[in-house]
Amino acid sequence: MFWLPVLVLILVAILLALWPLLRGRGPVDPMDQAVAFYQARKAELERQHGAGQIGAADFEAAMAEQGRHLLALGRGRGAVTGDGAARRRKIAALAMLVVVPALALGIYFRIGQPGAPDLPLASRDVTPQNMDVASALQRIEQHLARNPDDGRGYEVIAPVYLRAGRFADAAFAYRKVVALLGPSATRLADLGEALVAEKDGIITAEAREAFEKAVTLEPAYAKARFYLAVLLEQDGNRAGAIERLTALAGELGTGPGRLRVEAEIARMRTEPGGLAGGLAGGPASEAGQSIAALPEAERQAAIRSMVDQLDTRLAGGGGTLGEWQRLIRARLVLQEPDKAREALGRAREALAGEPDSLKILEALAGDIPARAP
Amino acid sequence: MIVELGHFALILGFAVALFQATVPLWGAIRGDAVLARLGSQAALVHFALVALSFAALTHAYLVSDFSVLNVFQNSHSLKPLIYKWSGVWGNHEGSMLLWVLILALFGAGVAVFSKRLPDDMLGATLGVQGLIASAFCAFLIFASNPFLRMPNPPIEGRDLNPVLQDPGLAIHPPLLYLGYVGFSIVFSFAAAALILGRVDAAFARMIRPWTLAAWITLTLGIAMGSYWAYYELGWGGYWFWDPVENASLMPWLTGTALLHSAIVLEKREALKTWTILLAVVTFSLSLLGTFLVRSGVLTSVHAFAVDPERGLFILLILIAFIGGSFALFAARASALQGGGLFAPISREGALVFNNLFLSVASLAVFVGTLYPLLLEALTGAKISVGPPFFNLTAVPLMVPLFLAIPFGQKLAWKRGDLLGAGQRLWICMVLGVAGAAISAYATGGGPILALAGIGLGIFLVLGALDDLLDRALRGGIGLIGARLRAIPQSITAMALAHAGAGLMVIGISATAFETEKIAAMKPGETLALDGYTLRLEGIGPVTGPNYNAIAAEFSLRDPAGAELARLRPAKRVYIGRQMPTSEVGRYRHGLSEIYVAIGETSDGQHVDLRAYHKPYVLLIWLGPLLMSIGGILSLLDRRLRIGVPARRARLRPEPAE
Repeated sequence: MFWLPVLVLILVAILLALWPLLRGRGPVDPMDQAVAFYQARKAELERQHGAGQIGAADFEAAMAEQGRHLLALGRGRGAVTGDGAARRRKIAALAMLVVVPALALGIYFRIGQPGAPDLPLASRDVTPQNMDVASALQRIEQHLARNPDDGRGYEVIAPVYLRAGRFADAAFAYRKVVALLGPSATRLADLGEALVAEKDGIITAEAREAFEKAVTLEPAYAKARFYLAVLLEQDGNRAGAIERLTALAGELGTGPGRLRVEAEIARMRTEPGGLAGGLAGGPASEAGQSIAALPEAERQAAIRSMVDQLDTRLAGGGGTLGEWQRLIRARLVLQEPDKAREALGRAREALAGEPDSLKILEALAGDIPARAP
Repeated sequence: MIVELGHFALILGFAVALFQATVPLWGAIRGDAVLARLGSQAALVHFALVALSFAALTHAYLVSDFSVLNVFQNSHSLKPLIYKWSGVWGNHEGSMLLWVLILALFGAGVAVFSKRLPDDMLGATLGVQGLIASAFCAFLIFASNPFLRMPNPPIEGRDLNPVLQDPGLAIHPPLLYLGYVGFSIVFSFAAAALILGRVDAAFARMIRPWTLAAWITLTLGIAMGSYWAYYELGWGGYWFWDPVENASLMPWLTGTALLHSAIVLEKREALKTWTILLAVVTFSLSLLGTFLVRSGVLTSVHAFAVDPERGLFILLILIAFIGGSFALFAARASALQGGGLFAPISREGALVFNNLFLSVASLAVFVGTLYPLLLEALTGAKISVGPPFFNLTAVPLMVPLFLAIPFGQKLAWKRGDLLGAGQRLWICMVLGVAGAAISAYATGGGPILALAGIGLGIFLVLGALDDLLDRALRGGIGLIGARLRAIPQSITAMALAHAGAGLMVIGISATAFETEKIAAMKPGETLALDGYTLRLEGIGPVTGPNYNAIAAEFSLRDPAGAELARLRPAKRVYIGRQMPTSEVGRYRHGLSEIYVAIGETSDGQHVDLRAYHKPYVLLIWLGPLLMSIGGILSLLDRRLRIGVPARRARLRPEPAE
């Protein structure tokens, strides 16, 4: 099938190229053409003269000049000899008949891929299993760029982002999923998970809201309950967190889910510190231990006083990014958004020279609830 | 299969080009008319094969066949259709295929339109053209093959360079190539004339349409490229003295000289060797331009691939053709018979003046472009020859040339009268000076050189058109209509082309009066620009077919406060290559423009921008457009041209047509 058009191509090329040889035509004397050109020039001069564009004297001079050119042409150019013409034509025909096709086929065999089929995109199988992840991702992204309302598309791409470590993209995709397909426990919990991953393990207000809504929709939904329990630890109630996680682990059958919960319980049991310890400075410090032992009301007061101490110390100048973060988070935990905002303002000033730190602070700023109207 | 057929057609085309390069030339030298005439057939077959191969590659682009390496590297399935078309030549291999296609097109053109050419001249010309075609086909097939396949074709391509995703790509390269390559046929004619030892009026008549066609397209191509750079690159400049731009300017300058010297040859049979030399030099400079752009010696938006092997290949082609043609010239030029004589002050003299200045300007550009490259190659030292060099060398050379144009138009053939020619021109001069004075008053002074430039431009436009007026009025008021109709098309063409040069001079001079504002703006803020007011209405994301963009929306108000337009400059990021490009917002009023380009919009709150008011900027491109229209008019005038010499006795000159 491939060789037929190739053959036709070669034959047509040869036929067309050698056509004048087949027809046969006598040689033309080049002098005839030259003479014809100067006759045409004379005719043009006569036309101009007739139209009154050049005067009689100019016309005479110009005509004489053309005549001189014509005479000059005749010198030095004899008639063309035609001997050996038949031999030359044979060689030319042979070159076209043999050398040209042989050369073309020879080169093509060396560098071409005879008969290799075309692969237009429309005819190709572009299902995901035929693609590497990057191509698949690119395809879906392009599809979504053109169809920004396709919730199913976002649902497909979001977990891919999450696995690839593109947490912000994952969170964006899950937000779109919830907005376009409507909330469900799974979608909300997945959104929350992506948000937590984006903030490096910190459960933000938006994440918390997502988990809480998920639990409202489906009270037994494990993933949401897991994160809400961890949130309890983040808020300073490690014991409560362990209690809830233990309950969750009891409900779950054996499997990766349960292992994950148990690992978290083990971490909380063994890892020293927690919020209070962190505020007191060193891990597992005595102060931290004793505060944890206090009854609820006194414990709150003790924490508050330690936070105030930290506040005062940082007000004196200096302070690392870690210390400022601790202060702002503590103010949030203590439900003092105004003080948190104020601390953030001072932190921005104190760390003005460090753009990287400022970025982290800005991420934290998103967690401070807006001022009550 | 279409791809492979295209590949085979290209290779067969190469073999046919070799046939074309040998047999007709042999026939021409031996005086065998039949063999020489075979050149016509071979040129047509060669063109058909290359066109087939070009169509096959285009098809691969249109259907996004990523099994073709070239398509994978330079296309993307989501690319808008027009860029799938134009993307064929938006890369090294494809652009070389376009080059070869245009080379073949000119060969076929000679075969079709030059049936009345002497057989031996036709055979020799097409033979030389076949030699050039063979060389470039070989380069294409062995060093830049666009038909190479990929064993495991990916599902998506790498996309076309975003800077090239613009309608400009559909027009600029084909026009420029038509110009560059068009001079190849003039070169082939010149080489044939040298081989056969015949240079006369008939020869000039033969090369006239080809020189004109190449010159017209090169003019349009360069102007188009300049306009594209103006709005795409976001700098608002029109000419950067970039080596690649210079590479196209050099053949334009010598091509313009050639156009004028060929007129002398056709009308008066003078300047024979000089015309031949210019034809050789012009195409050599075209080849040099191709070498500079395609070898990777230069890095710019035009250099698609940096590959020393390719550079060496083109360099060899360059040396073979330039060296070969100059050797031929040296051996045969003395055999050419001298032509008509003329006095220094005459139309011929004026055209020699033109040639002298254009050639020297081209030489200045040549030195400025190549000296840094040579120095770097020889000593490793990097120097930069920037606009100051060219502004001090090539530009001053243009001034006397432009001043002389209106005088040249009025001089008679063979012996002219400068005073007579100047009689009418002093009015144009006064008007030019007045125009400069009015500009100075309107703008409150300004750079003296720019004002002088505006005066020069006005003088040039009026001087060019005055020639028409003079001819129209020569028979008295009552005969104006008849006289106007009697003016040969070639005279109108000359006047328009020269007026175009004047318009361009005015446009370039007016850039000295532009206003530039650099600012950072927040939504709701305003910026005053020469009485106009720009207000930032908002910043927002925009999703295109294969790019995402951040666009700013500005409202533009005139001094009275009425809203004129909404401008939407943007920063685009193309998905395929993740490469940012800028889109500028422009508003045209009359021949002037308001031009806004945005920079960073990092926080979405404010945007950095540069805004310009550019008075009469469009003249920079309208001038060359008018020059090309003049060229087209001249091309359409198929009459024979004979310069009737002025006779000694007459005092009042009467320029002949």
